[in-house]
Amino acid sequence: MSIEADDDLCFLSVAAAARRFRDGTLTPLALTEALLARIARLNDTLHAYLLVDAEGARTAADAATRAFAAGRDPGPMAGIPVGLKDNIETAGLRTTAHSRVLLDYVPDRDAEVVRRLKDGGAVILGKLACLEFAHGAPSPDQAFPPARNPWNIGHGFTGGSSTGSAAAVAAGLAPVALGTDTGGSIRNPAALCATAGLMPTYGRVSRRGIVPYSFSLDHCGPLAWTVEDCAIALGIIAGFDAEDPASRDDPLPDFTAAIGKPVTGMKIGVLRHFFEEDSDADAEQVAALDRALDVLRGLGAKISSTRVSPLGIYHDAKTVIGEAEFYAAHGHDWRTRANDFGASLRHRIIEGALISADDYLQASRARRHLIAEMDRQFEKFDALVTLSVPYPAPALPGDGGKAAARPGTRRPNFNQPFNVCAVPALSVFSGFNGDGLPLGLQIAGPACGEATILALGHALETAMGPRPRPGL
Amino acid sequence: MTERSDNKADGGTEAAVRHLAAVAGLSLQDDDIARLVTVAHENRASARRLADLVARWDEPAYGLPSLRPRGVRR
Repeated sequence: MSIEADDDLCFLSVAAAARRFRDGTLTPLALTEALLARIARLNDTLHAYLLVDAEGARTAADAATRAFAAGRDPGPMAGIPVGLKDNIETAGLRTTAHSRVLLDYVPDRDAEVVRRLKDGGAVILGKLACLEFAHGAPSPDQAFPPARNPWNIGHGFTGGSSTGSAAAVAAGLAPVALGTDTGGSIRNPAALCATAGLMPTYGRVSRRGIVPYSFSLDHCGPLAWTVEDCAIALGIIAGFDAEDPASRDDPLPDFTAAIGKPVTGMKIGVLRHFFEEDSDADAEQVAALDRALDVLRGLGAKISSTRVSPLGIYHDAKTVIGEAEFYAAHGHDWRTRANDFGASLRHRIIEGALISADDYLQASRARRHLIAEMDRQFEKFDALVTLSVPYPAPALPGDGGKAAARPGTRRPNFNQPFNVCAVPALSVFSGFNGDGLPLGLQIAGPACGEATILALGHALETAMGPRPRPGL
Repeated sequence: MTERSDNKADGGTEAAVRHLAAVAGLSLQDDDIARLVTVAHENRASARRLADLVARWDEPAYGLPSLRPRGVRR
């Protein structure tokens, strides 16, 4: 088969690949080989993968291929290749969280999400780059180079922290990947790389076996080229786990049933004050959002503006809680081997050590009110919409260019409110700017309301039509 | 004078940064220390804004945060 034909396979959605496995026109092994070949060809440029488990992937793909040949159907993710952010533990495979601190760490047990994927017959391709411990920033002293944005290989930042997950999906190096999200780490890179990215409800997906950033703000979820593929992956990884103290035991719907569901009559509140008053955003981002809202209006959704607390309040809560919890999780390593942390995180972690118990508790108490306020929004609206990111992809930190002129990470972002309020949020592609860089918007729903936001995201994605992949 | 303004006035935060860095064996430049002190003050301002909100919202005296922010049925 030619490289071109193999590349076509690499751009198959999860849903399309699953159909072809079942109609006999494609095997999991052929798809896996095509992806491994593309990874071998492009990863030295993109740096999306920190580790490729070709042997393990071939073994799993062969097992899935034989299962289909024998007439068995192990489930919707059977034979589907998956990339994993490298803060997700994998038995027998090094898990570094992109840090020298864990450079030699080989877990002896899979994270719960990996266990569920493997039980469902998924093929683990390897471990994906991220920001150090999902929190740092790229720096030259780190053990691995940062993932590059496939839309701007020269100096483009993917956003973070699920850098490799978004880059791999956009570049056709994995049809679906898992990421984690503490303040936007799934949705931010998804938006900057033109993929879909879903942060599920807090507690919906187990964090057991995921290297923590913040106990009360961490989420795990999928990134994929399509919203439907996010729904398929969520159906596999979601569910109660007694080993995650925050796990929910709510009933699990069939998330894929939401795909294609009409959005007529759905009530959508638009949080414009986030980017019009509390912060700012590029005009092209806002214009793309408005076009998307017109599309949803055309599909019969009822759209109106609404307000919650100012964006800065969510940023306050996320910062105080997140930095304190990060220090609680990593302070011991930092005190004993600070120089193994990258330059950014090595200093930044001190922030958390300086947050008092009083400050942490007051922030946590305030958070309850923010959650209650958000709950009241969902008594009026089926979903809330706002921007996912204020700007298109900036330059990699240290590469100069636009990033130098952009505000730093302390700036409030549009993702944090939904982490603070523990509700699900989906980032979807909304267009390209004049430089050909992706733009994105965000759809949030009530707790356990993933089906609603997946339905809206899919409807929007379908109405907007297919989008190109980055030219590589 | 509050503890926070004390820190700002007497260099308590800077001393804390220097102490933490020493414990971790890090040698920080003056501009690193200045930046961390600034960030620490920003974080305290964040916490103060949140505490003000809690006070305004008439939080019950026993309104401790839950480890499970919402609706976990276990």
